[in-house]
Amino acid sequence: MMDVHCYQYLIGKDVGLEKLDGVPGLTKVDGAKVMQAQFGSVTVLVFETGEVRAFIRSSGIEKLKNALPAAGVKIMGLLQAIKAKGVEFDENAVLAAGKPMAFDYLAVKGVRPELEEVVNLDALRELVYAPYSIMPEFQLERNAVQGGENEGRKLAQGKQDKEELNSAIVKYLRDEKLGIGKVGSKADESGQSQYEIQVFTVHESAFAAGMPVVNKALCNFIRGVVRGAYVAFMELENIEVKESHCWGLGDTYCEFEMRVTPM
Amino acid sequence: MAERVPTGITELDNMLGGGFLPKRNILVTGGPGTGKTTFCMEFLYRGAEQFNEKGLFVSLEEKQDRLVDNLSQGLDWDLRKHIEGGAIVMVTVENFSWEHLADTLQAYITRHGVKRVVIDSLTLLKMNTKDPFEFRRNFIGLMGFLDNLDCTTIVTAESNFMTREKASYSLEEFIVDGVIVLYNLPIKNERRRALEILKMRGVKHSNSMFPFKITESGVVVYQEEII
Repeated sequence: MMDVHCYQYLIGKDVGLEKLDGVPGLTKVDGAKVMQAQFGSVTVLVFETGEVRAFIRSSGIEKLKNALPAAGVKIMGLLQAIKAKGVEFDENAVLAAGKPMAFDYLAVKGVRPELEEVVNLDALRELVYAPYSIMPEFQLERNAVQGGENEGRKLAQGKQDKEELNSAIVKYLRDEKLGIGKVGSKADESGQSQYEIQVFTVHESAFAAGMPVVNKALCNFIRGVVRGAYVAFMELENIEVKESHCWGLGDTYCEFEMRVTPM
Repeated sequence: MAERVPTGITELDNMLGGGFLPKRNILVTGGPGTGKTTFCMEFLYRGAEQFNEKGLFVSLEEKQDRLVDNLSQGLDWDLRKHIEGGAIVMVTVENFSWEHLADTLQAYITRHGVKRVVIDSLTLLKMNTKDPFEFRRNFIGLMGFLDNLDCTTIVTAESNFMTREKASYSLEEFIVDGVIVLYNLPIKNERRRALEILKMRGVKHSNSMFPFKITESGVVVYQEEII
C-alpha cells in the first residue's frame, strides 16, 4: 500500500461549495468541485462531499504532524465558518477524528465535475490488461480479486438478508457500469453444503465482453465483488466463487457460482 | 543477525541460525510415514504456543477433525485449544481450484494476520492440475504471490525416493527458497527417521543428514549424530 501524506477530516455530509463563497481564506479552484485554503505551509482542500484534507506539498507525514497543532486552530476556524453557512455538524468531533488518510479511500463523487465517474472501456481494459505484458499473470489476477473484494465487503454493510445483498451486488455492477447482472440459485449437488449455490449471470462485462478466447475467465474483479460481499455478509471465509462462463472461455456472457465450502 | 522465524524445533532452529528467514517459502518433502504433517503442524503449533503468531493449515485432502485426531495420537500438544481460540486456522480446500486456494490464502494472510502457512500438499496441487505447464505457471505464480505477503510458508510434497542416492528433483525444488527432506530409512530390521536441509537460501547450513524422532513433545532432531 502506498504511503499517504495527508490528514483527513470528515464532516459526514455534503457542504454545498457554492455556499462557502466568501469564507475568509477559502478560494475556488478550477476543474474540480473543491475549494482550497493555505495556512502557512499547510494546504487544506474542502470537497463538496464534506471531506477536508490537510497536507504539506512534497513533504512527509511527520512534518505535517508537527505543523498540525498550529494549523489545527485555522482548520477549526474553517470548520466553524462552514458551520456558520448552515451545515450542521460537530466541529470539535470532526477535528478530533482527523487522521492520516488511507490510500484506499475511494469516495470519488464530485471530483470530476465534467467527466463524472465514467471512463472509456478501452482505457479501462488497457489499465487491466496492459500490465500482463510486464507483470506475472497470477499477481495481476490477485490484485483484481483484492480490489473486487474490497468493494464487495462494502456492499454487505447493513444488509439483512441474502436477497438484499444480491440486489446490492446487481445494482453495484449496473451503477459502476461493470455489467448487467441477474441472480439465480441451484442446489449444491455435491452434498457438501447446506446452502444453495448462488448463480450470478452477468452480461456486458466491462472486463470480458467481446474479448478473445484465452481459455481462462477474465472477470476477476467481479468475482472478487461477489466473494467479498458474501464473506462479509456471512462472516465466513470459506466462500468459493468460480467464474464458470466467460468470454475468455468462449462464452458470450459471464457467470459466477458462489458456494459455501466445508472447512 | 537477520530476523528469523523459529520453527520451535530447537535443534533445527540451531542448525538454521535461529529459524527460517521471514517471508520465505519452504518445501518439506518426504515419503509416506516420514513425519511431514507432524513437522509442519509443529511449525504452526509452536508459532501459536510460543511466538504468538497465527497459523493457517490448508489441507487439500484430509478434513480438519481427522487430521487433528491423527495428530493428537502420541503428541501432548493441545492443538484444539489453539484451533478453537483462532490461533491456528484449519481449512480444507475441496473441489480444488487455484483461484479458491489463492482466495483463501489471500484472505487469511491479509485480513486475519496469519504469519505462518502450511499447504498440504503440493502433490495434490499437481494431481488436480491436468496440464503440467499450467501447474508450473500457477505454482511459480503462487510462490511469487506469497513472496509479497507477510508470511512464511511451508509446502509439503510426497517424494518416492527412500534414500539420498535415489533422490531426483523437479522444478518445485528450484523455485522455493528452502528444501527440507525427511527420510524414513531402512536400517537393519527397523526404520529410522532422518532429516536433511537440502537448500536454504541466505542461510548457512550443514549438508549432513541428522536423525530425528517424533516424541510426545514433537520433533526432536539429534544434532550431534549423523547418519
